[in-house]
Amino acid sequence: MAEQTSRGMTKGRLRKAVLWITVFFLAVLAALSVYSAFLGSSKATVFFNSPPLAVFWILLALLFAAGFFTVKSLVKRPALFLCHLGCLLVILGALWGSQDAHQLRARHFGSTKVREGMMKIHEGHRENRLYSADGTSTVVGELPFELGLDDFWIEYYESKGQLYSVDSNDVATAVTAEPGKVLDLGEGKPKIQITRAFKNFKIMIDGDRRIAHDAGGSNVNPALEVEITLPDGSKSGGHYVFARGFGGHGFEYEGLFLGYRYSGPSQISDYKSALAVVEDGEVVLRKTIEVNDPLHYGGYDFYQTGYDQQRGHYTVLSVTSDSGLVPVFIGYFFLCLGVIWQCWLRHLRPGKAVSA
Amino acid sequence: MMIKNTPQGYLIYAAMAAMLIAFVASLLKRRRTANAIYLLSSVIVLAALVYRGIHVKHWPMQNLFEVFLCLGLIYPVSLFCRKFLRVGAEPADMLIGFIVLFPAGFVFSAEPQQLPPALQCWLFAPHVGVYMASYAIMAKATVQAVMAMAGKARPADPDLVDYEEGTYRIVSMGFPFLTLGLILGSWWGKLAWGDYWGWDPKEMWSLVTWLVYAIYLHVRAVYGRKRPRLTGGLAVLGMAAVIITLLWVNLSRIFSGLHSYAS
Ligand code: HEM
Repeated sequence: MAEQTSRGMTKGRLRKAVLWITVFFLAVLAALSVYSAFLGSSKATVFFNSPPLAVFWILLALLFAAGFFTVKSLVKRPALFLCHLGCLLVILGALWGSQDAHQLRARHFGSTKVREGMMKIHEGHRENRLYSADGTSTVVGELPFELGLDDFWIEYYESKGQLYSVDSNDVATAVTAEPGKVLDLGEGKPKIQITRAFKNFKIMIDGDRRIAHDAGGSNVNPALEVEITLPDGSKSGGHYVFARGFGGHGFEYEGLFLGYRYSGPSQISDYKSALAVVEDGEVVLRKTIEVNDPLHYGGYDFYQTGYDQQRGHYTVLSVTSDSGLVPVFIGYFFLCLGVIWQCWLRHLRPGKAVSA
Repeated sequence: MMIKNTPQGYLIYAAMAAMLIAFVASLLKRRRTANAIYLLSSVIVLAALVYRGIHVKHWPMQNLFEVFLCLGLIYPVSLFCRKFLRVGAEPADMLIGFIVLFPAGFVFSAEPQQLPPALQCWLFAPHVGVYMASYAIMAKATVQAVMAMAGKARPADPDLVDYEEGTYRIVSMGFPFLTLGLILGSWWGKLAWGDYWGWDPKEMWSLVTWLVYAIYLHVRAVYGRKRPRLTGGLAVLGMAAVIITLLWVNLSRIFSGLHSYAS
């Protein structure tokens, strides 16, 4: 009995010791994280991948492992086991996927896999060279297959702009520039209805008729066709308000001033690259990638990151190795499950007695 | 400081006024009235959020204006804590509601923005959503922690748990949300940037926040209920990290990071 109590006490002490070492390690990691927040991401990446930090990560992983051997509840209670095993898997996966681990495998096991790089592919061309991720033109590796770019394009948000009028007191009234919308200037003032919107207004001459039409394309000469109803009820249609204005002038009619504020070149909504994976001269996979939707093939992930800003003829992809990803994401899953189990299901029961 | 002369602004001001009135009513011991007005204020916040969502055509969680508006929806946290955790202190929640709505009403611009490509991901709403939930919950935990640190043992209502236990229960409620937020963010980073961890300042601060609460849980596991000042202090430190994560990185131009959408 006395022996059992004393063993209980050593166990209790051991648990306490493990907990305090844990607190110490977590506090050190927190302090290093605060420090690295001041460095900015690129320096912080170098810092956390440096040799002393590699030692820290390995010690942390060992601490988790030691915890399983010394504190029984970490293994016996499934919730706690999942929390801690999850963390351990994340650290191990991250170590396995690190730059140093890739280099070690290359040096000692002849692996050709690189951790990360960039690719620049012209439309209609194929490429397998990976350039350094720091933007220099150093080739850091080659893929065992080729990637072709069938097409690259940019998508924009629909931007409508506004039809507006400014009165003698400089007060503006505006309406979204859409056919059917009416700009109502109030009691005793004209009403202006938008009857048509042109992305690229052009006049076609047909005999002695002049026909307004939308030449399409990008927004070269955006314009609105409006119909004006004067306070006396008389209507007058076929007026055009130009966003660019001829010579910068607005539109004036019977003392009424109208303008078309076009939102300018609209904001980009997406970049897309239609890619083809080519093995031994044959296309084995096609996929259109965009931001948030990468291509996964042959142990790498390919991300849309840039493009030819002048002419849109090439795309820039960032490429990352998928080594270590599986343990990291399984670790995430375990961690979530364990934390929810431990924190919610065990503690959060209505009216549960106050814990000791 | 700017006043928003828009329906959006009026809704926020109405909700703020209701939070304050509810707070005053609860000081005057009109619990039922206070609760009804508190509920009303949350309905107004919800209306403001729905209005905003329809207006900008995406989940209203993109910039700091929208984030603070979301945080104003603290009523469900109060309700859950009272019903399931036996933690009260609703007047403090009303004040928290008022305080978080203030920047939405007066500081941050409500100019609608379209989502840049990186934010168009299904993980966007869940990632920010669970973070908002965890922040609101941890704010409530902070109040319990401060009371415990101030040496107050327990609230007058015998149905409620004491402040130390209250802190622990609420941190336990919030920690999984914080964990989910971190992991969803990491997953999204993988999809959008190619790496599940980019070491940028916003990520580092959210890691710090998570670590501080993890430290809280471990220290609590050592001492149990015996050191309310120490554990309470850690919970308060956690909140400080939350505030820095939320604000400092965005507002200060000290760091160069990837997370600049929210500025
Ligand atoms: C940041 C990573 C970690 C997380 C998220 C984490 C999470 C947790 C959680 C949620 C608890 C339960 C606390 C409670 O419900 O009161 C716990 C307890 C514990 N953790 Fe961790 N932990 C982490 C790191 C570690 C490490 C590195 C060790 C060292 C081996 C460790 C050892 C323990 C021990 C011994 C307990 C107490 C178990 C008991 O009550 O018997 N933890 N941890």
